[in-house]
Amino acid sequence: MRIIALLLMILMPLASQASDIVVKEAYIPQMPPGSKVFAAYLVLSNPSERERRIVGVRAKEFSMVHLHMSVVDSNGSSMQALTGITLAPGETVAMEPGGMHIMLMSPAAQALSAGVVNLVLEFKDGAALPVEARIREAS
Amino acid sequence: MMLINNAVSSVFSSIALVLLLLTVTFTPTPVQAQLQGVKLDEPVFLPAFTLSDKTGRQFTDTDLQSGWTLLMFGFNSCPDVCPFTLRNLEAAVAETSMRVRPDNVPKVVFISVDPARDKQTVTDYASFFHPEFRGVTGEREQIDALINATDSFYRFMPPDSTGYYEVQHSSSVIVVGPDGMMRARLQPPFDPGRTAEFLARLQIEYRRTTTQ
Repeated sequence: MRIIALLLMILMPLASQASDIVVKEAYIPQMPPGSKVFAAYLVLSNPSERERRIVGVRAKEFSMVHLHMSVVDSNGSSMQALTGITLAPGETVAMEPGGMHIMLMSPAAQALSAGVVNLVLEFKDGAALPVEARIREAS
Repeated sequence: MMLINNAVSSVFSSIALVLLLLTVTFTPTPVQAQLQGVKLDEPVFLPAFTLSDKTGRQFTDTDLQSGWTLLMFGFNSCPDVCPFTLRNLEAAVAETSMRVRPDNVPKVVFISVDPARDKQTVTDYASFFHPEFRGVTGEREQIDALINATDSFYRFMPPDSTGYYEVQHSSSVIVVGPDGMMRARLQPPFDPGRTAEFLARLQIEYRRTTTQ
């Protein structure tokens, strides 16, 4: 058991960097019961020496998933759909409340019961990066 | 010698500490930090209105005359900004409760401008963020009366292929005094400590002007 845990500890970071991109702190804030709309937040880092571009996100338990940017200013708040997120070499981008987020709509029954949602980040070059987003109280 | 050196250095570090504290205490707050809220030059009269929660319990203009109220406009299918603002308001009210008398702690009312989708959910939606937050909605003209009087706005966006539509809306929160008049607006990002500080000061100024 310990050996498996050790192997996982060694392999997990490698797995999450499979496409050069490092994902941290992926989470979905808890929402009122019956909510049909959720937001996922995460921190993306590109430690590689080449530019990477995320062009979409999939989550099979939700009927619609979009990359979004909230725009909040003195004129009010609105959302803009993003066609992608470009990560320059060495760049870190935080998707956090009040800004960029992954909008998740219409969850399937039981989609949230496990406390974890499996997201797949899709890159322009065709690479796909699985990410586990935990459902938890917002910080 | 060693002892003297120690004593001298400890005196110096005490002086340094005092100077540091003085600097922290007396450095004026940057203008940006004070923009947590904007006090109106003249209070604004709010018209009569009737909204209600999912149980039919009414929320009207007379409810505004029993203490301080924070009114927020939004909609339940809002994934990011509305939950974020409600969470910040929860923290801001908690901070405010440490600065003002219990009967001056503002009540938070979330008003959905999207009754078609939110009529049945708005009450539970608001109370999820704090058990005492009220969630109400109502007839279009009742909502619009408050929107217009508070110089707020909302706009329904065209629906996408699934029928989902977004609602653009004002981002500021309306502060109503115990006389039922709009006194100020809170501006994003609703930093809890600064918002509480703004509200506490606003209440002191309010008492000063109303007892004159």
